[in-house]
Amino acid sequence: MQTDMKRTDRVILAIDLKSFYASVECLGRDMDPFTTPLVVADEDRGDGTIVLAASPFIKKEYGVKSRCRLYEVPKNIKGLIIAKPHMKRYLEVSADINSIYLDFVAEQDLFVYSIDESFLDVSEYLKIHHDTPISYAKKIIETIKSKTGLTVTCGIGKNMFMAKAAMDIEAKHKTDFLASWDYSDIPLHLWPISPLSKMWGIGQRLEKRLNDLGFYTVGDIAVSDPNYLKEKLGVIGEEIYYHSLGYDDALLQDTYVSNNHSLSVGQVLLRDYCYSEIPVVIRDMSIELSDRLFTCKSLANNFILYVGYKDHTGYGKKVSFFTPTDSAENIGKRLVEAFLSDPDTKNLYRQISIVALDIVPNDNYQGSLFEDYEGEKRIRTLEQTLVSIREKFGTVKALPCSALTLSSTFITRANQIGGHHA
Amino acid sequence: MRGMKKWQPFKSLNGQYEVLDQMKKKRSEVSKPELSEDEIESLNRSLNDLKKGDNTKIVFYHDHEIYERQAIFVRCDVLEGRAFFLGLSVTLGDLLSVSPV
Repeated sequence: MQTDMKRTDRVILAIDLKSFYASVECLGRDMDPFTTPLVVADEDRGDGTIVLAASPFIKKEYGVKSRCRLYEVPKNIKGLIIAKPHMKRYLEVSADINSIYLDFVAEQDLFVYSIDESFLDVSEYLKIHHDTPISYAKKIIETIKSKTGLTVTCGIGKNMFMAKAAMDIEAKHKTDFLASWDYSDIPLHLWPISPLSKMWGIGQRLEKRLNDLGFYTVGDIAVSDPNYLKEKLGVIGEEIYYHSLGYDDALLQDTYVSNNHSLSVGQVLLRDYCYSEIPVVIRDMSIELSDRLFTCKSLANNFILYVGYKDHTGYGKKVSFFTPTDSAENIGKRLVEAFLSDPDTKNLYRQISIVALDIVPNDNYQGSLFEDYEGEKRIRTLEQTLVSIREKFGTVKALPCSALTLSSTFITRANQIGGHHA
Repeated sequence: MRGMKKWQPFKSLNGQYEVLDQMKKKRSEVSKPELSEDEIESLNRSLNDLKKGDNTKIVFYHDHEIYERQAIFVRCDVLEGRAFFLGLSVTLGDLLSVSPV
């Protein structure tokens, strides 16, 4: 175990924006998220659509949960607002908040974990400002409140895990939404936690495996033998043992760069699609993937097409290219071929994803003796022109004809971020 | 233990990191510095003193950023309002300082 003080004795703040999407929607209407019953959902998609977020008020008073279905929200709530999501706005507000963090810490001391969660390493700043962790955190929280009106939950800990646990487990339930933990707080606050999936790093499946081994609370793990856990669950087992003691050797400043890069585009179709309609959607998504490969200046050799049936089953197909490519034309053609090679005309389809695997940078393009170089070059120039047009004037300004067909989702998706209204 | 590997962000929203990068770029942006009479005069003098082929260090402003480059002087075109260096040309109004190396 790392006993390096540099790693285990820092002052880390984990800051989470409280009911982020719902709060942004409330503030956009000049309303207080703590007194307004509001859910963020796209009503046009029907009653089965997902609730992206719910205001703290509606969560507390009516027990509505984020990520539930719209029909689960009681319709008789007085003054209920169903707000259409504005993903673009959320991205901007999130950037504004991170900009506030950068007023307090340097870029390398900020780690953006998700759209509404960031970690700040303030260890060095406290020395300069002669401040305590809590008062420094309060300054950041108050700045966010006064500049954007948003309320945040903040956990303070000696490492990233402890900060996150303090935030998830204690801060969320306190009136000032702030909790500060030390190693001595771990037995009191972390050990009674049960079910285990309430702790960060343990999912439903891992919880089940731990239960089978006889662990039901975090304390059970803390008093067990790390070698036993490692033997049973591998690296993850050892890791959750250290987490249960409040240890985490991750240093916020070490950015981890994943070496096996992949890019993926996926969607759940809004209605059941029949066999003959799928090729159009695959081509649309090939364009989307190709655009993304192009913006990351990357190429890929291998692509996976996954199609899901109505009954949540499905299958995947792999397509390999001789030389890495980012051509929408080629990717689309090969994936459609792969799809048609296995005709399953009876089933109805509901989900499609395509993944580009083993991405390489496109600066060392290797020609091949077997390809039609001139023809290839013309297609490449054409596609690059299309990508630049889409980048400059908007995705819908250069469309494939198939985008105008009924089964295409190209235009709808062009106006979405993360599958939701932009 | 796995270090930062386990803290990999979800990146569930496309474009989030682009918006963040834009924000970071915007933060580093500076407005164009105003030169004083004296500074303009000394800049003018240095430019007049330069001969073709002189190795110089130039500081100039471009697109909200200040750049510092070492470049070989070619010529100054007053009509066009640009100073030409090898592989680089700068609008005279954007030039902040020129000094021989």
